[in-house]
Amino acid sequence: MLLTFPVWVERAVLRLEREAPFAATAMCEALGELTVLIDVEGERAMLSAASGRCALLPSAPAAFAVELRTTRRAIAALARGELSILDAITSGGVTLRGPVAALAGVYDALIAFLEGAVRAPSFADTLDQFLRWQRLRDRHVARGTE
Amino acid sequence: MSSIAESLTDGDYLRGSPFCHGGAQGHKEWWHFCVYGDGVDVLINFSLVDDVRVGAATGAQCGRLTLLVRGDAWHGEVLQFAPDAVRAPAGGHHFVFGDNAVRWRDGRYFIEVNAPSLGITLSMVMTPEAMPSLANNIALEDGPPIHWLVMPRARVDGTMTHRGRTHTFQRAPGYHDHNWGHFRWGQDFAWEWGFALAHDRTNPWSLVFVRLSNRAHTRALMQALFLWRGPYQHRVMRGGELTVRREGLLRPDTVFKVPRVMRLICPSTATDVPARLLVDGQGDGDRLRLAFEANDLAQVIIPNDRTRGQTIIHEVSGAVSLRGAVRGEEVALEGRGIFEFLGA
Repeated sequence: MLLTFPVWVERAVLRLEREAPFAATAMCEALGELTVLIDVEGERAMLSAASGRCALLPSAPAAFAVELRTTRRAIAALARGELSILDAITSGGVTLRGPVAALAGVYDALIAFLEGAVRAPSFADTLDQFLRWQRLRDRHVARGTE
Repeated sequence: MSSIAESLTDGDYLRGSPFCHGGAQGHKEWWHFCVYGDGVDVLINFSLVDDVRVGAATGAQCGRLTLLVRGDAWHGEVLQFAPDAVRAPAGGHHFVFGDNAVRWRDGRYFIEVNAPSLGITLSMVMTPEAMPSLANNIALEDGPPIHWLVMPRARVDGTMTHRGRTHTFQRAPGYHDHNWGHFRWGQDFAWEWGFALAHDRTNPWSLVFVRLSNRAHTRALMQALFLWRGPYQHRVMRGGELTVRREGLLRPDTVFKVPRVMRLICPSTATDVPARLLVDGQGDGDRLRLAFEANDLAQVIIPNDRTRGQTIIHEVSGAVSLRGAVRGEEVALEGRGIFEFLGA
């Protein structure tokens, strides 16, 4: 099954709450009142912890504190350990925009998310489902260039 | 069967976790092997640990194979295996993880690694050349004791293909240890653990150094320097007979990290690994001075079991010098060693 980006984020956060609750709590604390717009090749997810738990907002609010843009390819490279977060930012694979204090909060939330992701038993399968799309696309591109 | 082989048959069996039989959770156990080839060092670690993660099935265990190859640079990964791909029965003498295995048979360890995703294929036979030393019930401050067996000196024959290049091992020096017990990553302890093998294969001396401490390295729980002469343990200096000094800090430009995904969480190249570790031993008319000069390192990064944060095992390659006299006989060794420094 192929997962869209918002569905993957939603499932990943739910799994973190269930399987690595301390990481989910730390992620919420780091986000605080911040709303983050995450855009992966046009697929948008709006993440907020304002309700006390991390969740996707059902519709896009007019304002958000931080905007994070990236690609499936960059997420795949990060997951394989080919890039560090700093590498991804300096190479343009990840773009972050927002006030410095808000960016620091989002970075802390991201680290908490990752600490949960490496501990949650079911996370690898969810990530694999999400990245399958990219693998299919890479195969398609490779065939097209043969 | 030789006395070395008999000792290992009797002592180097898998203890196994009592968790799946209703016993305590949190057991960890591994067989660790190091091989010094011509221009390439290989570290292989088969480990089986209780799965203590939330949501894990009762009695579930994780099989992990850590592979590190040090040539011009470090390379490797931690490979994980599903429970149905793992065979490592308690009381037995083998780990089988998918297409990878280590088996104790006829007084030798047969090691097979097939990791196409890393470009590593390896087939080796390790023949122990020294009697093992068994240490049971090493106390930690805030948990049950841990246990180990160490066999410091072996001959290794075989081949490894690494990224398309074939390395042949003929009578290459090797090392093996086995650790087990109930402990948590993130618990208040750390270890410094290293071995040394002489450049000159006719040199009879080999050694292992170990120090357990609290996580901040401010209080030693135990320390010992084990010295072998040929196949036999010759001298052990312990506790107050030893003075340990850490000098400087190793400051590598880059740090190779496994599992690679942990680079995201621990990107820093700063470490608390000393540039030099000096151990002076004196007792009963014997004296030894061990100097370990760190060259470079790789990190094995393990998420703590019950808290945020990670435990970092630094695998540090370096030069070792040992000088002194035991029972009136001069001791001298120049060689290579891999020391482990556990950090946060």
